[in-house]
Amino acid sequence: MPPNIDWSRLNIVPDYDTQEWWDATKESRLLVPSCNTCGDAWWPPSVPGCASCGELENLDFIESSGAGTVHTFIVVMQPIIAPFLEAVPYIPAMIDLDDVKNVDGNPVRLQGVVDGGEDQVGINAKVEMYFEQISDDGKKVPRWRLAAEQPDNVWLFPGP
Amino acid sequence: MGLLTGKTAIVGVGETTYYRDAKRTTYSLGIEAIKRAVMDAGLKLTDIDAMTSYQGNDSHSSNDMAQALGMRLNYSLDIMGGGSSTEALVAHAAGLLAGGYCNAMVIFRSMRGRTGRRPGGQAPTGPAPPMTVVGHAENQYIGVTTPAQMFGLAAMRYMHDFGMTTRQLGAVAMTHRYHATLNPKAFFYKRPLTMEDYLQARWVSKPFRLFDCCLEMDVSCALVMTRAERSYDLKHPPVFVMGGTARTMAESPGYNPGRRNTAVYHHASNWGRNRVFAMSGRSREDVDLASFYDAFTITPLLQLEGYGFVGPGEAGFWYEEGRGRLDAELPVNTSGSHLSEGYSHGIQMVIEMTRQLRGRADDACPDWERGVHTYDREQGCRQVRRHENGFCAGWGSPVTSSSLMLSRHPN
Repeated sequence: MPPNIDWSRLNIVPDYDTQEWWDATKESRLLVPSCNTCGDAWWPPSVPGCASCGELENLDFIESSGAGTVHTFIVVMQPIIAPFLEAVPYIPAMIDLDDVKNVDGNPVRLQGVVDGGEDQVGINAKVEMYFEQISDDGKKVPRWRLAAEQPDNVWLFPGP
Repeated sequence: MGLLTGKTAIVGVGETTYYRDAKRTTYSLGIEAIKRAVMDAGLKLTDIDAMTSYQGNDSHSSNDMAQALGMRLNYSLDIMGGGSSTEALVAHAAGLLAGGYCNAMVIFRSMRGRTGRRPGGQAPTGPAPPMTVVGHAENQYIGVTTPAQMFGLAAMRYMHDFGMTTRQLGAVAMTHRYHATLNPKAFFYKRPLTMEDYLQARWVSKPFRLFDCCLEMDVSCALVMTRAERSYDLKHPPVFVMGGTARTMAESPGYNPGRRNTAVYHHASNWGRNRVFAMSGRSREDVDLASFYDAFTITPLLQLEGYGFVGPGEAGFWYEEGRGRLDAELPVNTSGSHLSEGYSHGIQMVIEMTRQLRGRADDACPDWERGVHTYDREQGCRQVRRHENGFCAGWGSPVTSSSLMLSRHPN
């Protein structure tokens, strides 16, 4: 079961640096910021310049499927912020994208909540993305769930 | 050696009680801590002509404090900053003092860290109310806003890569707690922690349980610095500022995912490690005691490795073998610090280091103020036996860290 996140308790207001990214989510498109000068790509999309070459103008987006691999994760047991009060336990993860590389050839790594329990979600797990609408004006956030095919080296939290 | 090595000294330290609910303002807490630090130095309030502080828009300013204490400042500055700020402000003070911009500077932090603004957006009485966030707001829409959650991501990957166990995290909590049991100021004074206590405590955010996390407190801490030549005839032996890293920034943010192929548990000290030892003319072997920013049990492990005291993946075993306890190889966090004394946003570790290097740790020994210690741990003495050089590491986020080498000797 996906965690029960109450989006009515979170009001996100895009700023000048993130308006285009949020607009794309309304069409269920996940954009990753990138640089046309040097070919770098990065996360998060709120960063308005290319840290690799210093380009500030000739910037672009790469559209990603969102499919990727869990690099690390936590299992949140104590709720803190309002949208997640009924969501615990939930598993936020860092996810290495399959289809977007940075200028060094490494996968761009972003963060997202992965549906499922700690008996299934772990490091090296393959995940796929879907969008969920969070506001009346059509903004959506990317969510992740386990892919049908899983490698045999998924590392689960070992406990004590 | 650096240009300013040994040119300035910490001469006064002070703090308020560590409160769970002070029922006081950051103004009231701040002036008490500052007055205590100035008295500890043996100076008059009017001798102070400079003041700096760090905060997160959650406190009162240097100008406020100076007005209440009747000081006329030649220099003041309040910066936005987290747990790497104290060491950075000490470095900043060294330059201003040595350059003659001012003569005696107070550095303080005053916070209602438990009943005021809490890190991560949690309200003092429980979870936060509905919120409006501007921008990308990733941390809010994935539910990762607290430092415990952010550092947990690094800790989990570290467990995967090196086979660290949560029992090793427990060894960090137990070591710092042991030191707190000997510190009359500590929240956990005379209250030790067993591994069973640690393992049975509730989960906060796996891999962290309750005692992996520091103690949020209402508290203010302050220290006083002056030039070396002015420090010799004050109340206590001076503790000289030898060098450090006045905020190193990591190439790759650790918990906002990296652009480079850097491990999520790598952090700024991995880049600052050689600077601090070279500048201060001290090697790792010269360090008699150390303090690592223990917001969580994972952070001292990463700093021990980041500054090169142990190799990658070794720090958990180091703690498990008791090598950080009083009378062992390198006593660390001898006040109990954030995990067991109370969370001060970093400054208390420089205060404790100052007291230890003076040979005047405040403990159960009746004449500690004159530097008379029994070294009998059963009787509550926490003074380290050898106290020539001390190393302090501060850490705000994985992006920034700072460090400080202090010594009883100016060269």
